Amino acid sequence: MSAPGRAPGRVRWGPTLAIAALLAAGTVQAAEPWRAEFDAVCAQTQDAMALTTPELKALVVRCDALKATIEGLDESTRKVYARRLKGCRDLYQFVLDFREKGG
Amino acid sequence: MTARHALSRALLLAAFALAPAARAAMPVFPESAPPELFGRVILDAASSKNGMAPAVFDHWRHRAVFSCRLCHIDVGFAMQAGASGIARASNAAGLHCGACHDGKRTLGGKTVFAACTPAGAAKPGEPCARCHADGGRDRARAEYLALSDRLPTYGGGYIDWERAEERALVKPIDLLEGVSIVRPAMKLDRDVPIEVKGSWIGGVTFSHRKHAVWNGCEVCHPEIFPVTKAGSVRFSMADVRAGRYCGACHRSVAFPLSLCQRCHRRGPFGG
Repeated sequence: MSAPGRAPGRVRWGPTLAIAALLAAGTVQAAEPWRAEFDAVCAQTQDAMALTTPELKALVVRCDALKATIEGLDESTRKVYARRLKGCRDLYQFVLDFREKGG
Repeated sequence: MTARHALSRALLLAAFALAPAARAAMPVFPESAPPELFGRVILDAASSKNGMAPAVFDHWRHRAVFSCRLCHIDVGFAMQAGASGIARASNAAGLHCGACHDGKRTLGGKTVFAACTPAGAAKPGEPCARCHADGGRDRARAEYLALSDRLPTYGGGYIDWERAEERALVKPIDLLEGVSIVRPAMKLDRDVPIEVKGSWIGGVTFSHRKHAVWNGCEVCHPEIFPVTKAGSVRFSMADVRAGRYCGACHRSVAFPLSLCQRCHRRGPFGG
């Protein structure tokens, strides 16, 4: 069967490419849950002083858990996101230490 | 030996003995590079090894357009030279310089040139030479003046970025789509008094609010200002001049150290 006016056997590239693009986008999103977790964990650095001690400790734990995933990424991504994650993690720990010393 | 000779010798010996202590107590007068070279960073972690000229990065070119936070938190540039691991591969992957310099983003109606190609340079020259070349001091000076002529400056021609933003002459971009995390504005606006040992210069009141306009907490804490056992950090102007503590920024892009009274309430000569 073919569309009217279309040569028999000719592939309809438009829908094929659209479906392929959607599948590819889905694959990328599914392959990057670490990025969603990174964004969630590091989104609270500006609020760090307002967070409770249990909240800060929970964020440090999440950072540590995410570190292992990031260490497994390609070199370029790892370099950037490991540094960014360390910045978040160290800040949360800094606030905890600051409180502990009665700051 | 006469009494006068003995006294002279005693004074001379005392002067030698006290010289180190006197030197330690001397004010540290910082030096600053000329404005067009102020904050210049030479990036050569891999360039020379790969037959390329080192990349030359001028803070002032980028400071007019982007906030400190965007580059040093969201893009992930370290505060220490060489610590970021910038490479052709990371630039070509849309990271580091490539986060903006991807050949696609537009800025002020112009497409931002791509930092590096995935395959590397086939031959020296454009576009690699946009970064991997020192255009010479005259060119840097001319380009700096083209910018600074329309912005408020301090003595010496250093751009007063704070006043420039107050007057809406610069509007640093603070969010890069696909890179930045949307964060709420910082709620901490506590001023921190910095006690100055010595009577020749006034104390400092550090404003978190002022510094948070362009920065994020993790730019400074804990890497530059850690928590100490005493609960407060002790540092000297020699540390600052060496690029530590306040010197991490005020030796490069923020106003230079030679402008003592921007921080110290009373200047070194009681002014």
